[in-house]
Amino acid sequence: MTKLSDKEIVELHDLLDALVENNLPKHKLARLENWISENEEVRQCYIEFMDMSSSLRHYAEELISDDIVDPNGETHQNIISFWKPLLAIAALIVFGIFFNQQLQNSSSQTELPKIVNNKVTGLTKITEEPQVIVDTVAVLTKSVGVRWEDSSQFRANLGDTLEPSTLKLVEGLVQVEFLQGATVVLEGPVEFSLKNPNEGSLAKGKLRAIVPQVATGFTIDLPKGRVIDLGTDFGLHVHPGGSTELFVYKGNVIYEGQTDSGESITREVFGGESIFVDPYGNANWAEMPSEPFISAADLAFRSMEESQRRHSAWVDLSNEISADPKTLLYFSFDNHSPWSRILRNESVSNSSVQNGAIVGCNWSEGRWSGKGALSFKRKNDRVRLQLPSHLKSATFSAWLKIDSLSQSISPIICSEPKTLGSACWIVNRDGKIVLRTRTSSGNNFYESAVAFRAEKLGRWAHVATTYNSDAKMITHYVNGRSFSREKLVDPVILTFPKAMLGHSSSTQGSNDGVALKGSIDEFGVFEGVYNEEQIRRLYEIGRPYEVPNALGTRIP
Amino acid sequence: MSKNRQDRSAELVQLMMKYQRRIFAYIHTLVPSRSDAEDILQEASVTICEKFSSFETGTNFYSWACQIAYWKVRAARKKFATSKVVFNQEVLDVISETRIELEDELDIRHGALSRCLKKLNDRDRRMVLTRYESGKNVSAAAQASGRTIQGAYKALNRIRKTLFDCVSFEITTERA
Repeated sequence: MTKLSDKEIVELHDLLDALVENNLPKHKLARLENWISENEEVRQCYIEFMDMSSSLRHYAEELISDDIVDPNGETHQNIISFWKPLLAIAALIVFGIFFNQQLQNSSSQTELPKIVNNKVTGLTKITEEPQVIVDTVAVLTKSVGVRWEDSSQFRANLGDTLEPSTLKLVEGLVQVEFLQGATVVLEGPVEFSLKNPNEGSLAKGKLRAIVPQVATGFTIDLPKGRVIDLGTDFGLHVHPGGSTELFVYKGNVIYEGQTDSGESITREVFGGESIFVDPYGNANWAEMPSEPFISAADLAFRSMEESQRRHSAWVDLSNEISADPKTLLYFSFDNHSPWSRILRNESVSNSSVQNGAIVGCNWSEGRWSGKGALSFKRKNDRVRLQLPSHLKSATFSAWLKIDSLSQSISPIICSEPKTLGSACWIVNRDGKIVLRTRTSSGNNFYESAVAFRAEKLGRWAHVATTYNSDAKMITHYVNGRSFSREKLVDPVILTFPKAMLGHSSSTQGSNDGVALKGSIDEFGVFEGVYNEEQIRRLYEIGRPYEVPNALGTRIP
Repeated sequence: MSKNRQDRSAELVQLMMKYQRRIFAYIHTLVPSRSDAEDILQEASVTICEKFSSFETGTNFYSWACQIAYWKVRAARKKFATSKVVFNQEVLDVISETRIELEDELDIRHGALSRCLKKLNDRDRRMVLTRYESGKNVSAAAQASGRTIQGAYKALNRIRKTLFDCVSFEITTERA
């Protein structure tokens, strides 16, 4: 057996890496398959590589299990989540199939969901149906002036991860980054389908592709053929009727197609060259594309302009909030040094409210590049506050990004829970916004409908809640829209003893609490009740990106 | 449940807990898509439970379970015919045979990987483990390590290579 050369080892590693990321094109899979079949060293290397992948999964799950914290902040070190699926099945055998077969000698009709009803303590939770995981193929990274086609069922927002799907734009520009590394800029009107992390399909419209070396082989299907990239930068324009222009800026690509008469066509197109494919599939050399293509740099510039415009509008709003006498507490999180342990209260008219003391949290980037935010990750992360106000009616507002809801509540601001009137504003583990108030008869919880679902985690969202004693109404808002209302029973004067931002203490003491798993980059408490129009304004001016279409203000 | 049946059930649970990782690894070697491999593990586990009465205590449970898993993979070939990654039957057979021969070495490599993970810097370790958490993808790994998607993709490639080389080196050193 000949030993693999260094070059072959590198090639094999790249094939295996693409394989575990589900990115291996068919022709490369065929190469790997033959290689495994013929070469013992390759086969062994393949097995060791895949085994390493399994082991990494094992260690990753083991690590998570070491970090499970219940809603009361207690850590359970001995739950090994890696075993959970099998424990569930073990429960199935012991109390289900195995038991039935042994005692009743009946054939197994038991299906996995039945485990849910099993009364084995501690195992019921792990018996939920397995989540179907659809692999992401790309991310929508820039978007300017987008209007979606009415027939487009899928309308991605900026920052969305994209699964195989079709994007249909009437106008505007979007930039899509494929996981394998290729970037495409789509210019509406356009219809583009994402197929896998290194392949797409252009049915109509204009596209500019920037393909780094790592994504060589990036393929775009066209009405009469396809373009296979060999590491380059090119533009494509599919006209109504199916004719196509291809222009290569640099590098080279292969065009493969077939004419209506069945003739196969292959053209290698180099930088500076262009071909025109007519509606019948005939490819001819052309001088230049009929229209220029928008490049990633052009789009970045337009996007940056938009972002700067929005940031500047928000700075004006922020100054206005600071100066408003109704503003009791206002953290803009802007213009702090990365090592600052003081969170400045920007409220000009309420000097009795002091700055916050940052404990544990790290500074991170907020909604805009250069804007600060605080990230809360560890159990004791918090900002300690002194908020001596007593409020008959109040408005709470925050821009926050929740990273995880699964393990516990996500506190936004909470005060010591036993004092009459003390308030706590959180997102609970179901994703509902909750205002808890302490009354003489105990705690009252005012919950919204589910506002944060899994797909909304990790993204900036604006939340607000108003507490209206006069109208006896509590209203929750998400992204500027009234989201749910609840009748206020047993109104109390709200107080904030030992208040903390991003943290909630249990009654046992401040060290036994729960921290937000996420970031906050703007927070305010206002005296009185803001109406929907005022809260919409906080959102509209504060949102970090444009609303992509008329239906774009999607309530989470 | 009689004492005997209780013992048998306890034995099954114990064996499955002990060998689950290796059974999954065996399936994953034949079915590179992790989510597909997890589906087959579930199906195989149910069959293992159903047929456990025919398993003879004291014989090799792992081999017995892998036989069931192998047939589950074969049965699933039709389902995976439309999947992006699938090997033909001949290649599956040859991989399966070679894997059985390498079991002891793979166990040693599993232990060595734990040591190699500790040698990574925090950022890389957090990134690669995030990628392998259930339900997480490259996008999540990118976020966990503060990288762009493209950067994460490249970094994962590099980290896997580093880990693979480290494990091979550790084993060679152990044997020397």
